[in-house]
Amino acid sequence: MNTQELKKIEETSLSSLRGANSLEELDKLRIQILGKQGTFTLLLKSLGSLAPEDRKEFGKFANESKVKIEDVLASKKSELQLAEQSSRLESEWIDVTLPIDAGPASAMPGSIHPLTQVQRELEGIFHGLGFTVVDGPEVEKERYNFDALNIPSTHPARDMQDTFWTKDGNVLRTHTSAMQVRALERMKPPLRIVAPGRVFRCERVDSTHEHTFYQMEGMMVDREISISNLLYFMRTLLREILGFDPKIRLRPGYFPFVEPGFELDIWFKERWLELLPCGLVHPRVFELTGHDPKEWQGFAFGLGLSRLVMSRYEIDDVRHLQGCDLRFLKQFP
Amino acid sequence: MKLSRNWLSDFVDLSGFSNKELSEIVTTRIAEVDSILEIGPGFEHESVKLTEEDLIIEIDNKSLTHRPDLWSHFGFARELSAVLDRPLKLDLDRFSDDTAEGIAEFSKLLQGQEAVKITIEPGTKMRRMMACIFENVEAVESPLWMKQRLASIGAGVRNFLVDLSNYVMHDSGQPNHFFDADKIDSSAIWIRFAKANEPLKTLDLKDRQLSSEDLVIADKNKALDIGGVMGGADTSIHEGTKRILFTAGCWDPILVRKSAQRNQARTDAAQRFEKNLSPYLPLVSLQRIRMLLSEGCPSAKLAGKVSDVFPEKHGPVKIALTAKLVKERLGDGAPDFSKSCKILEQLRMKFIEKTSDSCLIEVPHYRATRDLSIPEDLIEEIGRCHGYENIHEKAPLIASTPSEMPALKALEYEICDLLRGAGFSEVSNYSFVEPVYSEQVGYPTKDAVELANPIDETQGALRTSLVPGMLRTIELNAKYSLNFRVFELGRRYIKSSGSDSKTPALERRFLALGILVSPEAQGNSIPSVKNGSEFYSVVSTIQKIISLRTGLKGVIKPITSTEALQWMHPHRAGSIELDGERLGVIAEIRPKFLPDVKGRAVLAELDCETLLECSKARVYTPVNRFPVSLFELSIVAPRKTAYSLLEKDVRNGVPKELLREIEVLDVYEGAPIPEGMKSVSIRVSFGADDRTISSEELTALQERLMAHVEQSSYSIRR
Repeated sequence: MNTQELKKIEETSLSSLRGANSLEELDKLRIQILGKQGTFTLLLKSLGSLAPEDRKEFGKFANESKVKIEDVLASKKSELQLAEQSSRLESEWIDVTLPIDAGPASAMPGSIHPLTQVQRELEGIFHGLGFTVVDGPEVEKERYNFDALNIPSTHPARDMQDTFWTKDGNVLRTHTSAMQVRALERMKPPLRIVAPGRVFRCERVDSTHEHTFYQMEGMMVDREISISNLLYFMRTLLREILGFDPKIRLRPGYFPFVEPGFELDIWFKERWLELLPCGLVHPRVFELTGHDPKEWQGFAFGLGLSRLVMSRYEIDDVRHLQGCDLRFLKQFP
Repeated sequence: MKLSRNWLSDFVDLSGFSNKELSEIVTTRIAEVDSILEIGPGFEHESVKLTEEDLIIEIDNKSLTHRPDLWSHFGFARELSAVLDRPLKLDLDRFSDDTAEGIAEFSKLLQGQEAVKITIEPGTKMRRMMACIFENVEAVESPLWMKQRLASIGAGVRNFLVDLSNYVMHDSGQPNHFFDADKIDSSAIWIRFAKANEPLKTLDLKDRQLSSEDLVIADKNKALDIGGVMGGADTSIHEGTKRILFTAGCWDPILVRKSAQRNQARTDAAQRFEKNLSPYLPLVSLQRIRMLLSEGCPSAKLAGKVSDVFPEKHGPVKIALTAKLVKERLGDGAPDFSKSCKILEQLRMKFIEKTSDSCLIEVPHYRATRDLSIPEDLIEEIGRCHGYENIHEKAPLIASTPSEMPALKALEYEICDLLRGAGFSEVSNYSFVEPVYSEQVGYPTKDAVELANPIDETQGALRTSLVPGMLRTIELNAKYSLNFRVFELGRRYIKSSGSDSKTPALERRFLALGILVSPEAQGNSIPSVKNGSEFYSVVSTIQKIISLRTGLKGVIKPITSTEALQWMHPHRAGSIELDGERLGVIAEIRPKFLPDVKGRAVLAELDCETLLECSKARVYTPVNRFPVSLFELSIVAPRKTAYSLLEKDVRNGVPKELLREIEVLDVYEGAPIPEGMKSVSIRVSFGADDRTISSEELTALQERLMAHVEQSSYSIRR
């Protein structure tokens, strides 16, 4: 055995591998060359019989050769696999334009996400009370999410919410309150709106925290609006949602875009449950959106839709809502 | 923030109210109580044991964002005194130098030699700085009551000097600091910005490098603390301290807030300063310290005079209020004006003018920094002290105007109902995608909105399509189910290039639907069409959705294997079009994206907004009174001929006004049809608007049609 012979074996091996036309053929060649009784394997085995000084040099040469063969084998294999895959996909061609019905449809109805169901129900209630449903962007300018809501950049209230920022300096809206500003800019008072939608807070997700959740903002603007009126609408709303007339209380709460600001609690299961932040629209918000606060007044409130869904269906893990698991979702036909 | 009931009782008599009642009063009248904890003998914190019962009220800090005056026991006691209409037992306000008494007391401290020279450098926005030196002090152990008070609210206990400074902050609300006067050059201090990278070891033993935007108190040589945030370690009180330098200032809230953020040290002091504390408070804290120092360390004495720099006294905040506004805003059950005025008086508003239906008041200094500035602020004060439970509900008198439901929303709800009926379940994916995955499946994120502070890399950008999320949804549910149908209605977001656009991103509502069908469940209504049943079933669902607003059928156009996105099966993909508008795409999912899944999965995405734009007004067309004539034929065509093309060719062979419908009956491959060819059987119906088609006319039409088909490179199977 000498290096020339080795070179020859290498060349024939490589050319036969390169010429393989199918994965089966390639595998056969692999066994012929590198199998237990393969040409190359036998050659390596014969190294033992060489003189030690020859063995070293020849061995190095043989190993390089083996690596080359293995490389070609691998690349040929993936090439053939790809070809096989694409010919299999090609054999699966169907006429996508054929207008036929598939076999029997599913016997069971599907399901609608509990958030959609509750949101739709609330929209229905407000629609009936003369509120227009409005929608707005989720990627929001700072102005709408903060500044025009009387939360300037230096305001400590900015720390009340963990905000997602985009690389181009906008925010993912942290509350649907941004829609108060958009509505006041876009519509002419008097107005009554609700704005349901997705909001974001930069928080790690666990069973009680989500970075993505749903709120519904409501606002009514007219010539004369009082806390009495706010209470009237809040009670009407809660009676419709809950199906009974709840005991409610207002207490002071701080939100920069309302004055006075409240938290509305309901008496539920023997304790007060914080449910609805609300208040009278802050005169500054009117000013910042080009309205005269002497002429217009209003109230605003925010409903936590995700929280409402969770308490209504006694869901104990908020992750289910965005989890896309049909074992959960199918429970809401 | 934690409050001790016993501590509050130093200032105001709370007898007669149970712990629960007290907590209710605080929550409904002042600020939100997070929790209450009843403690007593047996309670221990930092080795200090309580000997008395107490109630610890934890206040939700967020509810104090706008109330700089409430960050202390005295602050809450003052508020309770107003709400309960009980006098203050100990009134710290009388120490402040906006009262005659306070000024008189203060003037006694301004006699003698100047011990500390204060220099406030320009730009620091320092509102006030006060400093003095106490000699002969001793860092003894604090009295038991003081230790117990601090322990009860969870504060640390060290020695009398350190505890005193801390106690007075929780007591009066003014953060203050004691330096060991022998460890610094106490003859003069400066309020200045730190030099860039100026070193300072702070009380938490961190070696910090300050920024040139941090404020510091400095002596001649070095920075001594981060202004308004935290003291320095090397100059702090220790066991051998004999002389202390007292400092209390009124720092700019914004600069302190930024400094605390930058140094990640939102200390008790920083939290208070960022709320905009009153510049009159430093003196209150100094007087309180003198009071307690004389009890706990009688040997201590002031060395020289107190230094005080108060660069800019702001004018008083005055607010005018009318009875009309109170009535208008609070509504039914609002207190009458004299009751309203009494509430304001209890809250220590000073009346400058007062008539039967209007008044002009001056806001006390501790609420004049931002908190109270407009009449509506006073309405809130009156409302909460009066009690909102006394306000009655009342429907407003308003014009009855119809409300609108957005058309897109209405369409989406109809789609929801339709899909639910067809066995689909609605899912809701996150708006975030993993850019790498999105790219892999065929949606590069170069136009995506990227987050500056994502939770992690897998949620680094906003989705530009609902497809990546839907792929994951199908993969997830395939673990538990062999057959299912899912859909999602949601937004996709594209970066907006124009800066003048009304919204920062182009957001559009899309519908995605996906199904997984196990091999056993596959099968078409035309049995000889063996493959693609899952695809055709999604197409027919989509056709139903398209027809909701248009009454039309969409057109599926094949997507060639070179145009197919990565996630698409290159020979089972199509675009969905209507009136030449592209509505979306449909394709089987390429098997490699659903490893380990046995069945076949099909996914489609539709642009809901374009679909809505294609809506057609419904107009009646007369129902045809004449019968139609049917004609069936089988056409042999190359296997990969698209049916849509074939149908179009057939259509061109007969007069448009006589052709009613073409229906596919069967598609057959195999003997005797030659290899590579297929036989497509169709039923053509003819009819006219004004007559019954005669049999001669029908035969002529049939022949004309067959001749046309044979000319168009197909053959007829006879």
